Amino acid sequence: MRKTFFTFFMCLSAALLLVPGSANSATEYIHIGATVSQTGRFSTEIGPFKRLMNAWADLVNTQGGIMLKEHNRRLPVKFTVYDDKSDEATVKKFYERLVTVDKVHLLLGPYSSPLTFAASTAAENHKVPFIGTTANSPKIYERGFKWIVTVIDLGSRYTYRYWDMLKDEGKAKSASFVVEDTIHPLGVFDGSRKFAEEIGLEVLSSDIIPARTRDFTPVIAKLKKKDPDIIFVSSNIPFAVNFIKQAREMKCNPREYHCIHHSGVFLKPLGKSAESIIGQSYWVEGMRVGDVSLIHDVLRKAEISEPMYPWSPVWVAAFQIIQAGIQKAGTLNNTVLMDALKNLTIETVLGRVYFHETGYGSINTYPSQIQNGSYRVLYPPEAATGKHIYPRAAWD
Amino acid sequence: MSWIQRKNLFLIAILCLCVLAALPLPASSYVLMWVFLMAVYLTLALSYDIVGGFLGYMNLGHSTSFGLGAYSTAILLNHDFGLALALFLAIVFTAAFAAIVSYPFFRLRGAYFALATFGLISLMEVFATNLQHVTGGSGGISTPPGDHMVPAYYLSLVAASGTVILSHLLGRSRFGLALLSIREDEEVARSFGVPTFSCKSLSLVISSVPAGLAGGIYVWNVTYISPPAAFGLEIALSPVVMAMLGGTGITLGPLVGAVFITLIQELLWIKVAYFHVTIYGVLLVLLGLFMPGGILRTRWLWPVVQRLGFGEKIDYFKKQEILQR
Amino acid sequence: MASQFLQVVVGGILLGGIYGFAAFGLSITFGVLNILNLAHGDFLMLGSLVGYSIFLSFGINPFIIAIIIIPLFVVIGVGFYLLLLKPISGKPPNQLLVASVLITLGASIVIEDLTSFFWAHPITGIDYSLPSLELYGLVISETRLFILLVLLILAVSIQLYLQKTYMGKSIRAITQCRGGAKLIGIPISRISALTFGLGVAIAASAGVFYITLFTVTPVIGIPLTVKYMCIVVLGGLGSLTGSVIGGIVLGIAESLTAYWFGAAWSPAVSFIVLISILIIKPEGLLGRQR
Repeated sequence: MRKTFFTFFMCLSAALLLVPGSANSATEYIHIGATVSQTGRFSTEIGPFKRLMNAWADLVNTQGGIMLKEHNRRLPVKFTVYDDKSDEATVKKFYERLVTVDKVHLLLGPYSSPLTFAASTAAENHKVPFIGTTANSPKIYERGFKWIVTVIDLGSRYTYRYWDMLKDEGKAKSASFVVEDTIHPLGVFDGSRKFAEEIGLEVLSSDIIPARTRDFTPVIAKLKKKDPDIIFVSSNIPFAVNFIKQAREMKCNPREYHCIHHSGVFLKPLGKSAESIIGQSYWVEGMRVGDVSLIHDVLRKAEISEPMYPWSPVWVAAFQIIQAGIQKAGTLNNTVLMDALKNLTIETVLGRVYFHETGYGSINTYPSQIQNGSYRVLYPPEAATGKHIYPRAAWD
Repeated sequence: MSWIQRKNLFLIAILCLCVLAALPLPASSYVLMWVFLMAVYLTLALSYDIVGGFLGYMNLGHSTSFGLGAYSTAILLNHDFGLALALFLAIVFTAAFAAIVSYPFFRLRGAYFALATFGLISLMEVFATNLQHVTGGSGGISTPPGDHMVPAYYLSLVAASGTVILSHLLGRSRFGLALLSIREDEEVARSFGVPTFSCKSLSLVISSVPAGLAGGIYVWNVTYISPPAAFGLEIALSPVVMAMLGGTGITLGPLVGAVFITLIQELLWIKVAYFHVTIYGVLLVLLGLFMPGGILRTRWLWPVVQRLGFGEKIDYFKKQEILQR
Repeated sequence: MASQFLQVVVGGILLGGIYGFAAFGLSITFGVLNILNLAHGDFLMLGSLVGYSIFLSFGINPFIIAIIIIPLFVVIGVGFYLLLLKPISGKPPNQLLVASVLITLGASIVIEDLTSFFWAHPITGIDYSLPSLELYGLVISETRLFILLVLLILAVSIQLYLQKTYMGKSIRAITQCRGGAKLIGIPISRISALTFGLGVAIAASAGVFYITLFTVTPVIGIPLTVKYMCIVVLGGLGSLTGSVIGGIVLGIAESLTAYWFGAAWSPAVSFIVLISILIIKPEGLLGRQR
């Protein structure tokens, strides 16, 4: 009896599994597929982003949805989102599912270049438009894929505005790099070092340090001796927070600290120690670039705070791109839609976006400095909300 | 109940294989990917159990072989080696590593062995991250792109079936009996003339072969490997959990465990929006508390297993409680 | 040059203080109960988050918080033991290992997932720092120095406790010979539960210090547990002073490795040390022959 039940249960489960989830009957709605790293090592970066997608979908649907010329009416937006466990094989599996079982019209990329690498393969193989979000490794765009566009620019150009600013000022003479051994910080470091050398700074040292390191005493001891003008920390937030804390304890005082990710979660554990630290932001409250009301609305509805999850504006920009692309194409036909997307040039919440031939975008970050606990964009002058404080006040 | 016979089981197995072989035609690439991953994990769980179940040494570092196989294959593929040669060399390398590692590690027992092998994985991860010129560092390596879904699928099925057969034959063999005797009482076995060290070492080498192969096939299909994917917690512990869920020490145990867990995990991930990981964890706790012997050893299924001739020669999880020595 | 070297060594000793503290609780649970508790790091994480909440709400000095939370976590630890570990404590060694791995791993997964879900911040840290001392050109972090002192006091007092009090002697009796202890009437499960609770509480206490110095995310549990197991084994099972010394040795080793070979190799140190010790002297530096 129990065995019969067991077999029945197994067959039922298998059937449930293989039956297409929400089979797209012709076009009743715009179906967008994505995965979010709800668990795994990227969960601290984008864990709750499913809420973000649903919040935007709700906002759009209250207006009836997105206008499609082909159907002469607005169609609502619907997301199907899976948890990719921050794992490449799982990403590949779920993007295949989104395309073949859930039959989505568009795909939104996962977090990070490695995962996007795997995800975009499914899009390319099945010819579904793919909008990448936080995927700035050049390797993704060297494969000659035709079905991908990404919001942001290549990682190596991440910090170019900061170095432009330093060049204009002409005060800093030397720099040392402390790099977290993870894909994104490494990519940013590569580009940053080239920029530094181009503008004539002397690179005194570059230390590449494992991601999970918590104790930086040996590195800081070395840096104190070298005494660079700028200590550039290319890393994710936990790494940077620990570094700065210990740098303060050891009274390491360069003229400037640069931590590429320095938003809200960075500020809290450091308090006063974070004063005058410069970082890179896609968007900062009060910035005079782009129409930011959408960011406010979506984030508020999704109950996600931007300082906690600094990548959220990138997703919002991706939503705008999707909406503009669909409206421009007027249809959900994949070829027409992809074409429309590739040739799109619109103003997003992060500024003007356009796509390069191989797919990467044009959105880049601005240098922003923590002054009295709030963030001020420093450069370029059109976007600036504050002046650069240099050199910083030393710790004693 | 008279239909529960060994030959019927073989018929069912052959039927399943035929269905799986024909699957690529009607099924989507998603289903293929899913079965592929299940086959990979199955291979890992079965090969783990050779050391973990038959020998009784909990080798938490089993995925070292997987990771080494994956990385070696990736590096060789990038140097334009053909797939067959790359896989072969990767397996040789993995087996050699297992042989070398067995010297120091088999001086340990029980929890120490488990801990040391677990530590080995982390060590491997550090090496994979730091030897950038060879391993591509923390960013990992991509192999030449291409859609290998279908051939990789078949390869994985072959690997999985091969490992089932290997495990079965091992359990039946004299060598397997030696392993069981070591598991039960190593000193007594040695005094009976069983060459314990060479048996232990050989079992580790044998278990590393399917694991390395699985790693190679995996990287060929996913076209990418990175330190967390090769040496992370997930790939390290999942096969162990699968083996234990199904029944460690029994040939069919990891098979049942792998299928069960892959099904449950997929269901949880797709249908349950939140807390899917928590449910998985609770499952593990309940398993540890009530069924550490695994599904196959439960009161209802154990007679079936024994009747099919897949039972144990020596009971691993004895029913009665022994007074502590 | 010499002062840089000395700075690194001093840094290593101070780092070791934190390690030793965190490993201390594990030394108690693993040493006494012989159960591989993979969830140990998660208790440290929970302690740090509780400490953070208290710090945020009441602004109490973290050193005091570390003491306040001890009773809470003793209760949690005892509960954890009675619910999950006692049922398997009677099993023969290989079943015990399998079961304990499954249970503690499952518990760790559940704790981490629930914490990730309910705890609003992905990363947490306390903004608390004491000024640093400067001696002979060396900069010494006062916070870490105090932690080291607290650890030494703790180690000494627990050692005295084990030697002098009845409870302490019972614990040592169970560690040395379980069957014998049972025969002379020591209530094994009660003492085991309390010991486990104590070990968990010390871990949580260490967590409060941990979050003062470093940041905490919900998933730091298992890697930390593995590292502290290395320290416990290095120091020697059953020896509490051993884990203190083991922690300091590891701290120095990691710092020097980072200084000489580059920070990339520091994470490898704990495992190389573990594997070496297990091969050369499995009882650890101060352990007894088992």
